[in-house]
Amino acid sequence: MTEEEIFRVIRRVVDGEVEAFEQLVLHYQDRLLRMIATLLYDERRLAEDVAQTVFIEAFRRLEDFDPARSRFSTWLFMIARSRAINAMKKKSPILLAELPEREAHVPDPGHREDFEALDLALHKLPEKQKRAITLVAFEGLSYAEAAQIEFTTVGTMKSRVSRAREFLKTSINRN
Amino acid sequence: MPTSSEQDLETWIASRQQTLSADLSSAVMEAIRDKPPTITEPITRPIPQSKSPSWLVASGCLFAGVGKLSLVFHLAF
Repeated sequence: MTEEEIFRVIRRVVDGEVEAFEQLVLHYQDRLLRMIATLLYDERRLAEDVAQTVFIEAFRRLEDFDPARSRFSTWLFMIARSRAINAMKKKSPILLAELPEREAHVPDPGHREDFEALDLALHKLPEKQKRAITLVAFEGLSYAEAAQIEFTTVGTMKSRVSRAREFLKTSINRN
Repeated sequence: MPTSSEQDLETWIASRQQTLSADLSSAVMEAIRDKPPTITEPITRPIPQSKSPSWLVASGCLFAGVGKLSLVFHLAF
């Protein structure tokens, strides 16, 4: 869907056509789930619960969305960020050694150990760096969009991503 | 020239970019339908009813008006 098509769907929902909201859910659900799952230590079930909450909140606040201030995806990710952080605060500490096995497509079986080491290292990152690399590297957002979601500057976002990448690379080298 | 660790990192990032397939629409739409957003309707306020019958009020005003006119006439002449 183009941005214009998204705006048209939003307008229909705001005008009372509730069922039209499903188009937005279908369009964003995969990306949203992936982003939230990454922030929540790849716990899919918890991520699905949080993602549902995000969509429901987005529906209720749809009239607040201002296309002059951000893209809809940016606004949606801002809600997701907030909900994911809240979910992390409520969740009891988990042992990183018990991270769920991620269904990853590993092109070369020889990479499997490296991938597992990187998954572990990802979840050891400071939360801000983890969110930064999630938004920019995994979700393909621009530094500007990621900075807007994180309420910070582009420079700070670049710094966080850079430091995250360096830390992750060292985990491969150690392995 | 990217180092092997950078290449490994990019391969790993690509694997993480593979979409998790989600199926959230049914649950989300059901939740939305169950609790639709509160629709604010304009409140139609009833016209306040006077406590005394209207004819009584009208009469009182009339007598007061006549009384004032009488006073003015008397003072003037």
